[in-house]
Amino acid sequence: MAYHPYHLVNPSPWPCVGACGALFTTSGAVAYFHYSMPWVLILGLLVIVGTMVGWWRDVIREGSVDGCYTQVVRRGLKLGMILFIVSEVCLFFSFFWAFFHSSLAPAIEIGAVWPPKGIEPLNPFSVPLLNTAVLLSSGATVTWAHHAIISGQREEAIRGLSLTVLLGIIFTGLQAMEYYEAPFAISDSVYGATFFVTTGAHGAHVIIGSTFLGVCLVRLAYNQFSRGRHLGFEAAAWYWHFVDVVWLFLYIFMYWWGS
Amino acid sequence: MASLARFAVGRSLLSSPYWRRSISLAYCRKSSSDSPPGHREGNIVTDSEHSYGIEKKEIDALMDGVEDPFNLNINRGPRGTKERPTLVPSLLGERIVGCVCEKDATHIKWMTLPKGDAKRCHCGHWFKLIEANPNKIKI
Repeated sequence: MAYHPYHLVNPSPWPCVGACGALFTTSGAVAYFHYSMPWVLILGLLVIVGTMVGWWRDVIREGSVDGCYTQVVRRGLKLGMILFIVSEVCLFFSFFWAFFHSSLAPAIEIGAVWPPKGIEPLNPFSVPLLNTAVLLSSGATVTWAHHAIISGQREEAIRGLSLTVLLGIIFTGLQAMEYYEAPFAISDSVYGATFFVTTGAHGAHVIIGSTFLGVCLVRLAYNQFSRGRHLGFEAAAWYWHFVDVVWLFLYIFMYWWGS
Repeated sequence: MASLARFAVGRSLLSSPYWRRSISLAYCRKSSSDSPPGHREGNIVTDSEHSYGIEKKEIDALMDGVEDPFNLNINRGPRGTKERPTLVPSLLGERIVGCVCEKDATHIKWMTLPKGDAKRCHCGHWFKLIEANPNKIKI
């Protein structure tokens, strides 16, 4: 083995398996849309889920039992997560751009008003305000868990992180209820389109973030984090705060100002 | 030209059994559900208690006061002359040395420095390989 701190990865089946999954998913979606044949699509999605589980399992092993994460490797992983979150910021920036493009100078086709004529927006001081409180509280509980990890209190950390995941699930449930009861749909003018695409993308990110934190909770229960080295948890916490901030912008501009 | 010579010391050329990592890195080597060593109920372990492989060796070296366990830093020192060359420690018969010839040089001149006589970079800096004490090396 070379005398250096860098992590040179071992041969892995996952890039190839994941690529096959992507091919099955895309061609399966075409088959489903044109011939109502869902099986290839289902196979593709299962292969992709399997790739995610297997690949990240290997990454966790590299960090927790293989000892690949020297200081320079950890710096690279942190930088990678930061760049990933920056790319996510760009994604949401584009959704907000579409929203402001349509709302700041409403076209004549939607009555030259915002919200468009005939659209009944959701009451921002009802469930959306509750959701804001839920998400902000989850930001506090994840910090609670982080401080507990740093100071070595395992039970406190598990309590804080469990509460965070629970609040994430509650948020998703409330959003699902809001969607179900919303008086407009994604096809109802540019209002419905921008609203459901942006809040939907955010909801997907909440589900991803809750899963990420859930994996961290399991890892915490298996004693895989130490007081100074819990990079997976830190990445999950950064991601969760990012999702939190996006929700604040969503709430202020789409739910409140936009209604 | 700067009176202070700067030189970068590259990695040792070859690995020896001495350096070999004590564990393999096969991707499905071990169940990840094992608790780490040093774990006590109700507590989260410290960094040195919970680390394996080269990560543990790095932590141990840093705790022992080795500031640059992998020799990645650029060493700055007086300009090596033929009579008093810059000494480069190595456990092996040769080592790759990179000379930053001038203060503002934009690239590093790499050379192989074998055991024996001092060797001169084209810019005039002299280097000489000396035997390193294995007991003083932590990784």
